[in-house]
Amino acid sequence: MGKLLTPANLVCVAIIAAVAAMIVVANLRDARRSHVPYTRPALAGTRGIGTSRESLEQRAAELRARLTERPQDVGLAIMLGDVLLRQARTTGNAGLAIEAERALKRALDGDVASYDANRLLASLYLSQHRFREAIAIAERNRDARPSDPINYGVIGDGHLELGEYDRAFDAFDRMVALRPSAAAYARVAYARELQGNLTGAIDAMTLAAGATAADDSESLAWHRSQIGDLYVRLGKLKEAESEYIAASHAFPGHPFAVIGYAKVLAARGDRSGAVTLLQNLQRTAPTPDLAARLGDLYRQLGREADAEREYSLAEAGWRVDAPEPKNLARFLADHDRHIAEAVAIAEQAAADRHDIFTSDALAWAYYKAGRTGDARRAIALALRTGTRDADILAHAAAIAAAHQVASR
Amino acid sequence: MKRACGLALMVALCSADVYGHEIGASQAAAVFRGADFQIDVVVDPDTLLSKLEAFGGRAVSHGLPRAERDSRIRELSEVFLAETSVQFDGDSVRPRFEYLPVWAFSDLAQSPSVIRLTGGIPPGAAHVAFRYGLALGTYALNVRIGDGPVETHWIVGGATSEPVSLAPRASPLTRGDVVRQYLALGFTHIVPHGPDHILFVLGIFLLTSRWRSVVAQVSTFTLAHSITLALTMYGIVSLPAKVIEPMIALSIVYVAIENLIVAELKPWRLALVFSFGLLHGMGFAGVLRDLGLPRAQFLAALMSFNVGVEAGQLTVIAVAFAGLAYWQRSRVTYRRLIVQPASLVIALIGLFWTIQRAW
Repeated sequence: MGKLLTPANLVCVAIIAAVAAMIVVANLRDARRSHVPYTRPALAGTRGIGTSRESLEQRAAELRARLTERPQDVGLAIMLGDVLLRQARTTGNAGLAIEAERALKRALDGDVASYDANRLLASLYLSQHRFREAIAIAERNRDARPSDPINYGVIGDGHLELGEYDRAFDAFDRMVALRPSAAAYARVAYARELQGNLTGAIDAMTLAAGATAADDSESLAWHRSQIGDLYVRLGKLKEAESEYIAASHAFPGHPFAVIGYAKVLAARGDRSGAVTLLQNLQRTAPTPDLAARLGDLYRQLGREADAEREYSLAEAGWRVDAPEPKNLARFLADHDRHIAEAVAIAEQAAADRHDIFTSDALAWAYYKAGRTGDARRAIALALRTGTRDADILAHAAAIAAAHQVASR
Repeated sequence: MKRACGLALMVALCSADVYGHEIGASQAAAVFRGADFQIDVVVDPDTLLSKLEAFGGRAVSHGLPRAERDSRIRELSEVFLAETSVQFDGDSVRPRFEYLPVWAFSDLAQSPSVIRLTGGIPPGAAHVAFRYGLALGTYALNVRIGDGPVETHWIVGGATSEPVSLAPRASPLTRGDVVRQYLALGFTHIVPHGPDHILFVLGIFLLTSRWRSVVAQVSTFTLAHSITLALTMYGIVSLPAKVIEPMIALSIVYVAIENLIVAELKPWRLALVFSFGLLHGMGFAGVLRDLGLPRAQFLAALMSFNVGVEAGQLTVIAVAFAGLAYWQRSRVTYRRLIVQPASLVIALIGLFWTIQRAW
């Protein structure tokens, strides 16, 4: 016995015991992690979960509180992310997508294999204009579950924003073939619209609205507003008005409906009414786009000083608060401000994205800079899908006329 | 048609042209400590002046010289204060306005200019809310209460933030917490989460059963990986994981094959172990970078992680010593029954990892 109790043996036994204890602790922790609570996500707009403004606020607050108690519950993080994305759409608060991303990554804690979480992450990246990253994640998800239509929607959205229309439309076709749904119909509508088929787009968007759950009031308002916008493009103001009213009934004060209704009022000549609506919206959620729209209305009303004030705000906003190079370039060109800079900004934007609206902004900036040849090349790209967007067509006509004059 | 993004999970598309999803440069940092507060609003001076003039109903000026522009910004401080509010329990207070143009610090300074709002916190105030009406988009409000952690709130320009509680937050990690946490991380990175490092250390151990030789090799290995771990974490050296990881696996193969070929420690072994230690150090750094190091306790965390790794390695050796002590009494038997078969297995595993990590 005495021979066994030597100092060397005791040290060895102590070390072995310590190692065994540490391995047990580490394994226990791993085991605990594998039993981290996971709340099965129930997304807003499904299973009777409402999406009115109050419901979204209440649900966001509740999920934030639950996630504070259980920060590793990926299911809760997914539900919070879903709600925050909805709120981002109705409040214009782009930071909510970042909050959602952080909550999700904190919950994942390095576990990148969660399919549901990655599905949301792809959408979050899309909303932050990180299109390539969104496509990469969605493609991984698609490889993991080829029968999930949502992944094709995200892939299509990403390609669409980058101007890779063939890929985008292929993805949307696949999405519809797998499972027709509100999301799929909405994408079909957009694809048709880009190709100049406005009545077909209205049909598809109407199907999308019809396929939206009755208690998903936010989605319903959004779809109705989109239909209204399509009617405005067709010059059918009465139909557009009833869509915006339906949208406002579903979700009072939905910004898309308010802006749409202001467009109808302005088209009917009630510019002061349109100004009032947009001013109210600007008070709660100011954006450069709203300032630019207000500026245009003031100019039409002959209120030059007010127009100039709003234009200054729009320019400042697009430069600093909500940078969107394509929009800034287009705005500068539209309003004959800093044309050389508009060209530079549009060229930089067009180096990254090849969508028809970026090409149009570039063409318009070239036109204003007197570079008709470059403008023709750029506007040809903007027209390549067969769009009937009134602005793009007007720009194309102006550029063609300038080219004719130059040719003579 | 200007929809800019689709939100797959929300089964719809969204329009970023109307509601942009880009976050701009506007942000505010608010510190509430003791009886005082300080809120720094980051601004671009040129666009700030445009906004102040627009909101103040003045004609908007363009391209003013720097000094004149800054002077006008100061003149329009009332407009800034009218569009900003700091509320304690719903009651607004009037802060002091100070404009800090970045060029005042250096002509080449890259940091943004700042509007600093300062004032006193009313006694007994429980909540604070903030509004910055000059932002035409979303901005981040970073709030620190006392010495608590920074909390980020995303706010739309024009809207008042949700009330933020002024109650003291839990204090950040102490140095003792950090040391304990990173010691454990270092140790568990070897046992049980580092099978490649375990095999390498076992490879070192198998060649000789003499304590002195083992300690010499392990010390050399330690010295080497400590050097590259520190250099990599401080950003002085860097190699991509795609290169490091296969090389670590290859080092395991080498040590195991050498165990099969030679029967005792050769002089070059220490030099090789040192080189391999340099590689493993960069591997440790990759892990540590992924885990993240607390900025305030960087050195303590780095040292603790290193010590934890050492403890893990020594534990592996101690266990191996204890487990194989019986066989080590006969050198021939030990080599034939333990060293050679074990080294062969280690070499094969190392080879598999090398291929797996390289392709």
